[in-house]
Amino acid sequence: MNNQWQDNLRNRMNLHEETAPDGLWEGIEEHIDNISTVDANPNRRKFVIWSLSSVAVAAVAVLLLLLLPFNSETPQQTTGFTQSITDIKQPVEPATTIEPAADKPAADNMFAENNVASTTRQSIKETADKRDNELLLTEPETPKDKSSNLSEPIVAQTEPTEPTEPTELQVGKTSTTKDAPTQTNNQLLAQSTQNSKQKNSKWQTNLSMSNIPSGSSESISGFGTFALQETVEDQYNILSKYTDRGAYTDINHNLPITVALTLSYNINERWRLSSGLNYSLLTSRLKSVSANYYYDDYQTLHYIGIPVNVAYTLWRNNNLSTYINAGALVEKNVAGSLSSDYYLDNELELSTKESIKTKYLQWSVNSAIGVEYKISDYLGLYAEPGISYYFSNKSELETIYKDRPFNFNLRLGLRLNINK
Amino acid sequence: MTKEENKERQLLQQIVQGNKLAMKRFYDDNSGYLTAVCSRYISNREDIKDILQESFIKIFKSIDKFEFKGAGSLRAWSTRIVVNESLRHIKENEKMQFTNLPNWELPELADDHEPDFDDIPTSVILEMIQSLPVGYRTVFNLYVFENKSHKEIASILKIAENSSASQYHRAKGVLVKEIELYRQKLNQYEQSVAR
Repeated sequence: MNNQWQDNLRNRMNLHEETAPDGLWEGIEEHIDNISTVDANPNRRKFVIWSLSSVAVAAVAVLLLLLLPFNSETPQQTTGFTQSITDIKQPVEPATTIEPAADKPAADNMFAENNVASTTRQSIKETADKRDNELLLTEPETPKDKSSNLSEPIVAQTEPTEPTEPTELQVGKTSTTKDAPTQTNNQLLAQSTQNSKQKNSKWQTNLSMSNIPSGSSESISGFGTFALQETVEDQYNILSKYTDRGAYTDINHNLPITVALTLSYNINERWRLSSGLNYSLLTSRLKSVSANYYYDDYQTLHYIGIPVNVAYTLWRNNNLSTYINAGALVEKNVAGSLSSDYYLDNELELSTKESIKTKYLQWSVNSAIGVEYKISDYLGLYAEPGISYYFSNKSELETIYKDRPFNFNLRLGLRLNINK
Repeated sequence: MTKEENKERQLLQQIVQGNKLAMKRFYDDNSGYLTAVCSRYISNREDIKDILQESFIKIFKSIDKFEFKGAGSLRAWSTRIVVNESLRHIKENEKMQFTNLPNWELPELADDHEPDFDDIPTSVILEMIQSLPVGYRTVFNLYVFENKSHKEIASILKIAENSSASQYHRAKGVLVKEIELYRQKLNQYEQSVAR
């Protein structure tokens, strides 16, 4: 072709490099200090708005679901529910909020007889009950309990012993006994004290928090850094010139903290389906050390996810039920930040902070055994120790999921009945 | 996204946030190439330094407006900035040269040779291009390397379209001669060495 020589010439000259003029960088450097850095806050602001709105949406959805199915006979429960929900939603430290196993009070047969009664079952909730439950909710185990329990999920499970009081109060109210199913409060309470099984309410909402019992840490030799491995390669290059024997990197992934708000639907007495919204916070720290240099990376990642779970009830009595739960979770990393401090000869040389994110979804599957304790007829406390597996994705972010895809965790939560 | 693209994109992000190390990294990666680009247009070393400095500052200042479009897009964008800065310099300093060039149509020579650079080292090619008169050089660069049409060149340099075409034609002619001369010298040298 006529222009072949042009293409050849262009291609060859594209590879050609000349020595940059002396002092060029210094000249540039003088001027770039004046360059104002772009506001990195937009990402942060976006994240805050995003998370607030998703929480708000979830809260509104839950509230609506709670309020709508109620018939006019039971206005006080409505308040009871919404109030409980509000309490739950206050940020609780990673302590376990335990759910009383409210959805398995007695009288299964009774409810089979009168489906209508199921709606009024909530009328059982007297204000006093509600108050007890609130107390329960806000009292949840102090964070220190939780953190010390993290490596011993069993211990955390013993906490359910506390809610027994409210349940007793509950029982105390159910003094009247009648046989014929009517739609009165006492009536249903009486039924609930009997030892027959009671049909569960159809809809429930759950709030839970969970933690993976132990974080992961690794120590590798040489230098390491987080997400921006390629970008920070120039630091590697600088540092590698000074690398001494004995450079090492400590990576510490902290336990992710997960909060979930889900809606469960009881297909029948045994099977339950649930889904909802899930937020996880992952933090990690990396420290890369050599004789002259070291740097500290702090990585924070926020994930929002949608869990889908199926539960099968194995056994239940008045106060307790056990079930197995299995499901999947897909999470999206919505925001994250990485702050790096570079130290040269123990003096802070450069500190940078940037937002990081991965677009790849994080899929995981989980299964657990659940134990639920009924605090009241509409409130239950549950604990689900289980296992989960996080699938690897193409993300380059170093997370605890990548480091340890298979792990144990403990989910603790509250289950509220919303009847339809 | 490939690893390369990821690398570029992340470096870009860091520069946008004002990370000086990232800027230095970008400089290290690209200054050699961009110096070569500038050297095609400008022969004076001092001018090259000034233009490159202006270019890098401009790059860093306006990089937040750059949209990453895949591997190599950052370098391509930076190249355009350097070319524009070079052209600006040329237009300011060499105005006379352009307007003085004759403005007639050159008949196409029947045996119009295309320059054959194949066996010539790129550094020599660069020297040959630098040795062209600035008008020929600029048109040649814009046509061959920046892929501009004569119409576009005409509007960039504020000359007539046929002026662009004729200067390009002449540039080729000069280069063909330069290549001949170079090859002759090389032959002579090789022969003298062989003896």
